[in-house]
Amino acid sequence: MVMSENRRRALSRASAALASFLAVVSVQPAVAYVDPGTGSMLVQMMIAGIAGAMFYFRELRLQFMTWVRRVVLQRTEPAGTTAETGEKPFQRSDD
Amino acid sequence: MLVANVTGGTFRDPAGSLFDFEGSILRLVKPSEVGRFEDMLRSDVLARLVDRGSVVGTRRLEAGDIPDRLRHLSGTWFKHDRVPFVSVPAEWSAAMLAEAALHTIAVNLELVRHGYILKDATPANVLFNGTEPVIVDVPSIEPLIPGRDVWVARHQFETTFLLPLMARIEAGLPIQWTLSDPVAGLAHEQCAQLLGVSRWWGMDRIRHVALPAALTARTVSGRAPASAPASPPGASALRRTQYVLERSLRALHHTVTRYADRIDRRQSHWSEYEGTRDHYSAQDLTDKRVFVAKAIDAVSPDWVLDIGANTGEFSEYAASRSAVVALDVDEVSVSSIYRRARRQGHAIHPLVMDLVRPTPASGWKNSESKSFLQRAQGRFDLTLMLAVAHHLRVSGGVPLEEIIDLGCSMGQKGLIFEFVPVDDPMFSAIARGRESIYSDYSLDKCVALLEHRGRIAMRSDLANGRTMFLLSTCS
Repeated sequence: MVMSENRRRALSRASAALASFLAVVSVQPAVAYVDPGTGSMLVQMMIAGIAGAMFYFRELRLQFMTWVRRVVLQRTEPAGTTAETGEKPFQRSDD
Repeated sequence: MLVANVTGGTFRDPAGSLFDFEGSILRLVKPSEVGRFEDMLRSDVLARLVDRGSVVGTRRLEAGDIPDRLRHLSGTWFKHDRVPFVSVPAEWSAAMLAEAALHTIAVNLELVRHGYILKDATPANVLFNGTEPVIVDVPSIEPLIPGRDVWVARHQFETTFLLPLMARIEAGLPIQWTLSDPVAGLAHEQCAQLLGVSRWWGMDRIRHVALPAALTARTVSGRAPASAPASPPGASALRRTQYVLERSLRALHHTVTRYADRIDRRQSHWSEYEGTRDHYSAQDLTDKRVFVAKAIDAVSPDWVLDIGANTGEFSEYAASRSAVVALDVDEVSVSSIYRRARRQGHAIHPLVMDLVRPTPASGWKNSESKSFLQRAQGRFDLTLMLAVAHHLRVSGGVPLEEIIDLGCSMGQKGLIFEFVPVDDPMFSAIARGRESIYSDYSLDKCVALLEHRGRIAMRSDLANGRTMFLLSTCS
């Protein structure tokens, strides 16, 4: 059956999103010799998927707030500081 | 600890082997892994952890220091600091298991923050320096892989730390049984069967027992894992991975803490002993305490073994000058001794052990892990056998001669022995009318047996009929 161009494009975008989600949470136990366990690994993967999504939402929100400050409120705060929101960005190791 | 013959050390870790060679703990790392291992050893985070005593110190062995008998093995040699007394997880109380679990999570959290992670997590990787847990499986530390948001060793952590702890507290299942294989532990499905319907009660149990057990039934076939993440792993992937793992580890920390808090609220017949000890008058107790204090001071030991420690009162006295290993059959009592020793900073290493059936050698060919008696050999200067001989004789069925033999052989310099006569109320309570069969068990016989093994340096006859001895076994 012939698919419309738009639908095909949407479908391929959805598959790419699903593939990247699966890739993110998939397990590559090549180095570890420990049995990762199927049941608890599945639970861990589900929770990791949710936490990963939360990470991206948080990043998006921070970037959005930075954009809002820069463009809408015409402030010149450096990106990543959060004087207004009052919470720290995710700390990387820096020592 | 892991025993190795010279031709082969431990064999489970693909990265290398551990050898216990003439008092030194040596690790051979395979050539393919040496680069990564040394990079990790040089890292700041590891230096900090070793400094704090959280991970055991490790240094490369110079070519000249490698023992001749081991030179033929290919790889690079490292030497670990030695932990003075090794106990196996099956001997731990719930308090020690919880402490080891929290320590493992804390170390893992710090490693994750700096780009590393533990590739396995079992109580067999933790030894105790007195009351302080130390991670000794240093090659277990490997670089974090950005994009891999799951902790591969999490399953092993749960089956070997969390579930045995849960089973002990919720269902009274002894750690001695669940950790008889400290690498496998208690499976989720077994724990689910143990808890029954109550495994669905509360988020902790659902998350860690009910759900994993339910999902294990399904196969994970048909979905091949992707060989690479969809986007090349960059700084953002590393940060996401660290974020996800940190959240996961902190949640695990809270779960273990919740169980750890319940440990102290338990009681047992023996933990209430001090309050119900009316077979000693106040004077008897004072006399006994004075005797034990004088005897310990006379021997001045570096290492003391307290058999039947109960509340740990005498272990605590000994710990003011010596390192102490305290044994008792009651896990609740042992947990209390551990908690108190940790709070007060005493070097007491309390273990759950019935000396009638001490921990056997185990593992592959029954020689991967030494028996308790092998590990205790030559370690202790003084043995305490206070208010325990009658338990060994009656409940354990061990003849008095054997009891004294064991007490003497464990303490290089001496033995403090409390003789409990047949007409003692505690003896009658456990003999339950069978006193007549203990004909070999008399004060005279006891004195004769002791004098056969050494010199009775001190003796005190208490008013309640019990007799205290200090036997000097030095030649």
